[in-house]
Amino acid sequence: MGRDHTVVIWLILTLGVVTAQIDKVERALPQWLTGIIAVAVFLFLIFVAFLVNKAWCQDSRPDTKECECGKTPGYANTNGDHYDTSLDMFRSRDHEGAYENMDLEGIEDKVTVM
Amino acid sequence: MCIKNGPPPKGHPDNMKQLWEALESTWASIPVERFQHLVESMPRQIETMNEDNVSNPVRVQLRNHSLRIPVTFDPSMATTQGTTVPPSQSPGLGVPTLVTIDIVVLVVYFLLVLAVGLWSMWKTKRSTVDGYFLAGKSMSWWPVGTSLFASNVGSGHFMGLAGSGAAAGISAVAYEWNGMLMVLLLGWLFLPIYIASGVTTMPEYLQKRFGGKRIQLFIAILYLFIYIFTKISVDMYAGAVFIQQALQWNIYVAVVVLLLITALYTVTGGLAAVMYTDAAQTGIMLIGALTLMGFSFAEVGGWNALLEGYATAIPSVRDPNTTCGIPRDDAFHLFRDPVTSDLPWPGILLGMSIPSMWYWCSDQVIVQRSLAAKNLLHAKGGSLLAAYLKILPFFMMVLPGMISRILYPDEVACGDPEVCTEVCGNPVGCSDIAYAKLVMKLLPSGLRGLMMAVMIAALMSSLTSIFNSSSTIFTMDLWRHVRPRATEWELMLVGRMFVLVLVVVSVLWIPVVQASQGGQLFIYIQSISTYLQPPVSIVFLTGCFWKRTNEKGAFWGLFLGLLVGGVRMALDFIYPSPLCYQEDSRPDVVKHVHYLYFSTVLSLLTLVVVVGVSLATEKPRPEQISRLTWFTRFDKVEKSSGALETVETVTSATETEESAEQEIEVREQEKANGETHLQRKVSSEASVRSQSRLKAALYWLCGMERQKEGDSAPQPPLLLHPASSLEEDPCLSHVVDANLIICLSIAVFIIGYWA
Repeated sequence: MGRDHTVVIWLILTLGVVTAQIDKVERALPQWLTGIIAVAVFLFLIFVAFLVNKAWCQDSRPDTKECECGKTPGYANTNGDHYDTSLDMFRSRDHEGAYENMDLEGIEDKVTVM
Repeated sequence: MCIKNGPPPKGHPDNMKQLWEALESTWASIPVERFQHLVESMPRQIETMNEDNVSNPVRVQLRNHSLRIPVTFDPSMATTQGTTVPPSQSPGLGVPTLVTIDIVVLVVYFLLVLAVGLWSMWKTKRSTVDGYFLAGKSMSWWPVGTSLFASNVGSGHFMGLAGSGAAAGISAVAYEWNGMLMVLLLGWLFLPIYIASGVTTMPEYLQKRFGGKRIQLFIAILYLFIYIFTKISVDMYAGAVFIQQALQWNIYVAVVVLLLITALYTVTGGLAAVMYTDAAQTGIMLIGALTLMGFSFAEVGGWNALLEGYATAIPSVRDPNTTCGIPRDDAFHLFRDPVTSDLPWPGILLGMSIPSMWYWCSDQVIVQRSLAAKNLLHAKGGSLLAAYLKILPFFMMVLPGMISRILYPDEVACGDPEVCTEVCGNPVGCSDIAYAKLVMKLLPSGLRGLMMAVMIAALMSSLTSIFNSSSTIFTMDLWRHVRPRATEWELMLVGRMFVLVLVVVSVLWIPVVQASQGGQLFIYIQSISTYLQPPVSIVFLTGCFWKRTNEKGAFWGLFLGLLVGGVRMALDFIYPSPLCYQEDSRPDVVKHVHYLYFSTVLSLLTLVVVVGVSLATEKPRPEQISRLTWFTRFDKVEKSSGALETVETVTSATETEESAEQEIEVREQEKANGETHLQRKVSSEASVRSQSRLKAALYWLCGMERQKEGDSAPQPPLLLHPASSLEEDPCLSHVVDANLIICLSIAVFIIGYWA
């Protein structure tokens, strides 16, 4: 009986040594939490970058034609950019997208007194 | 065994003497042949017993040692994003059998792929350069995305990722997830530049950006070298081993048949056929690999069983004084110790990203698919699809590899060199057989055929993409340099011929494989790309995102970077990495500087040289910047060459810095060529009218239609306004960008989860 006991004790000792060798690296946080934190940090950085981009683009829009923020409403950069400034003079104040005929503005009704 | 054919007993024996007599007569009546058969059946019975009892210490040497490729997977030498793998022959796998239903599945698979290839041939116009090499620039997002995935994931991935999962844990998947980020970078940052520049190949982009010829030729030859010596070889090895194990055919016959089938639709159909068949192959790969994943998880007992079981997957025969054979502590961590581990985390963040950027953002195979998209939105959608698909290799290949180690630790994780040599012929380790073992052991018949189809799909999809892209580089960069006046007809012919040349080269790899018994040769070949990628990547990066980079800076950065990389490569050849139980006696430079750190240093060095030399020499000319960098991608097309743009033939040398005079001269030549073609056609038609139908059919099959003179100008006018091709429908653009944020968040989550 004593011998059996000795064998069992040695077995348990070996098992303990083996498991000590293969003990996994301990994690400070559960895995899903690390993932969530990483995503939160990432989204925050994206948000900050977006704000910076918007502020930068607003500042430099009058200076540069091509804007890196990219989301110009309507159409992307077309080739007719440089015509816009002259068309602006003809824009109608009352209707969007309509243009006034400037030639007519100077004409006044001449009423000839009969 | 019952002895039933003895003489009928004479009643019951009553005493010992009668019993003895009955026994003697019965014994004498047993025919001699029965004993003979017993003896002769012994080998077969032992084989069956050996196959059933995997851990049976009685080992029987099986037949079929004709293809021994004893090489080990070294995760540090991964090249095409996650693999290296020199796979090994494993006699210990048991006798693999493919029954009828497996053959049926394989035949159905081949017919499906050929059908898709033929359909795509009929659908696209293949007689122009754009039609053949860029699929007419008419592909939607889903063929682009699936083709990106299928071209990247080859048969080497299956073996390599599973093998490294078995050997070292999940760290190799860092290549895959890094690739996810890089493919998104391609779609959003690099591709607009490439589209705006209107190039077909990457060396052509460098030539336009930097001018001169030396960089273009240098890079073209380097790319061809890398393709032939690393990409084709890796996939040929892994595919050849799988074929031989499962089908037991003569390896040459199997490979030649396979390559002829792929060459059939690659040569005739061009990129369009390759992309559509890639989409079909992706579907097959996903179905098969996910099925195997399901089987292996069922076998091991679930997710938790995997997590806990891996730590105890220790082979029974190992040297107890060392840690060889014991699974790593940080097996389930992606970010490992910066000094002592096999993949240090700073190396993963920096040293892995630069070569990864080379692969996804400036390699011809990958970029060509994105260039074939209809417009930028479809290209971005394709990148997104590819990025989502790149999440899967972790679950489909790495985890089953680890499960394979848990299920068969004595073979897959063998720690003793003699045992390893017995199992798979390679004394270094047998982790390469991890995936193949699962396929052969776990799957029922029918599904084994499906997995064969999966491996062949992976092999064929990668090979066809490499063939097509190599042919593109050879035709557009090298051939056009040698013969600048080549007609489109000639370029098409050359492009097709080169694919056939590459088929021959691929078959020639097999004797090399068989000769490299030591396997070290193959590892060295893999290191070629690891040390050669960073300088090229830096040159592309600086070229695209810094306007001041000029030709001298780029050339000297490339030259010095490749030189330093070559020196390290030579050192690696001379001092190979030691086996697990051996002393590490390499010089400190090789021993202590991990190859990922070296890659970072090499990139920095190249960057310093490029910046330094560029600032010290003259600025690049405006036509080398316009539409060729990120900041100038919206520049308008030069109006001076506008008149000739509608006749811009891709056959003439269309460098923008060529004078208008030269272009007119070439145009005249073009017309003359077209006229001679017409004359020849008229005369030939008059004389040989009966043969013209056969010729016409042949021409249609090869996708080369002789055009009349009026049509000789290429049909879709190339990029009159490159900026307009960067237009995006604003609503869809928002959708795609939102999808980008989602995809990146998922990537960040899984990287954070496994950190």
